[in-house]
Amino acid sequence: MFEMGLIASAMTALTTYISTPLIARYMRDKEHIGIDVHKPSRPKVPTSCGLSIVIGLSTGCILVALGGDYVLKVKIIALLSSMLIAAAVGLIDDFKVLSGTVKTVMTLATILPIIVLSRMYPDIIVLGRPEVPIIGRLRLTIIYWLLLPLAIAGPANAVNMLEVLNGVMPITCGLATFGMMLGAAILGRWDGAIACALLLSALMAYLPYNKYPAKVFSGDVGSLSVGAMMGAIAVIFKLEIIAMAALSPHIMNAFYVIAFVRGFKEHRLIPRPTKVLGDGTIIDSGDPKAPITLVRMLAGREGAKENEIVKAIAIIECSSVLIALLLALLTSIR
Amino acid sequence: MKGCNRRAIELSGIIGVLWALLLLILTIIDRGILAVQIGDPFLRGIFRVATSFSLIGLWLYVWWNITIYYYRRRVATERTSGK
Repeated sequence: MFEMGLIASAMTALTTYISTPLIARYMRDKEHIGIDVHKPSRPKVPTSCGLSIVIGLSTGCILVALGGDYVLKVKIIALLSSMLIAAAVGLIDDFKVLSGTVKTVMTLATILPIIVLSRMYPDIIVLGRPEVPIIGRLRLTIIYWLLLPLAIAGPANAVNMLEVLNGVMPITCGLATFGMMLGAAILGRWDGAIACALLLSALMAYLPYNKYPAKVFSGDVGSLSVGAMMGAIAVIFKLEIIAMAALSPHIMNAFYVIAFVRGFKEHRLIPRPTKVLGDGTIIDSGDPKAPITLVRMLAGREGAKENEIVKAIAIIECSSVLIALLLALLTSIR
Repeated sequence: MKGCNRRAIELSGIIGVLWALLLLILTIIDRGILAVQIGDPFLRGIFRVATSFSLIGLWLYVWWNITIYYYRRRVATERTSGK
């Protein structure tokens, strides 16, 4: 299993790394570009290049499914299906802008493959009763099923909401996935660790193109699919609490935005929480109507450069990963 | 230390406190609320759901207010860069 995971991860990374510039060229030719608003020169950058992550992950998942046993095949099919649905929603939103509410509702469909396969293979995909430290398995029955649609749509949209600066998504999600991988290993869930390794490989291969100064933007296709993949890994491989802890910065940021604007709105309709000065410093806009986002709190009134804020977010992500690992250790002790 | 790094560490502390509170609340729900024996199953269900959701709502309320307090006291009152 270890060798198969290693080969699949390597192929995922290679596929992602090779396909990113090809997709970027295609998007630029089609004039599918975004404006980098956090730079004074406002350069044009090809967007929706997160499609390369989807292609890389699909490659890795197919390899694992071909080389793995029956149990792993079913789990990987569920994982891949959920991720592809999120990618489809993201791609639609990238080309035909959807309202915030419509996009969020459509991402709820990502749970469907997992529910269907858990009904077909109840011994393989076991839903319910997440494990927490001290308590053990939570006695959630009806409430679990009510919250289940949010288990993948939540992380997908949370990752999407924090993806506002160059390199934030691959760096934070890469760290979070690394934490989930170690957490899965601590709990002896090696199939979950392999799934995390695939995602980590794709993100690390994508990072050189998206880090500051970004040559490509992920678009919703990239951020929604990465978030959905993390949520699906959490549900399928029973890593719910570890994933929640690892994704704390994303969940925190999403909570602030939703609570402040009282709903799901397209980000273009929300007052800007920050503004960019002439030298590229990002500063708190001071607008009382704008949400208190993570970037706004980190930039503050003194301001900071874009790459400094990304490093600060990485610091928060590292502490979240430490919390996730502590929770994994406490769960394993019990 | 740069201001944004200092605020990152402070926000990490807030996340840690919130997680500790959440685990405490889950323990109270599991060991306290779910252990309460009420004869009528309907009333038992109402009691469990109402109290559990109230505690989680309280946690969300605390989370929100900690953030507003932190923003107003630590972020919004700092000196501007003057650039």
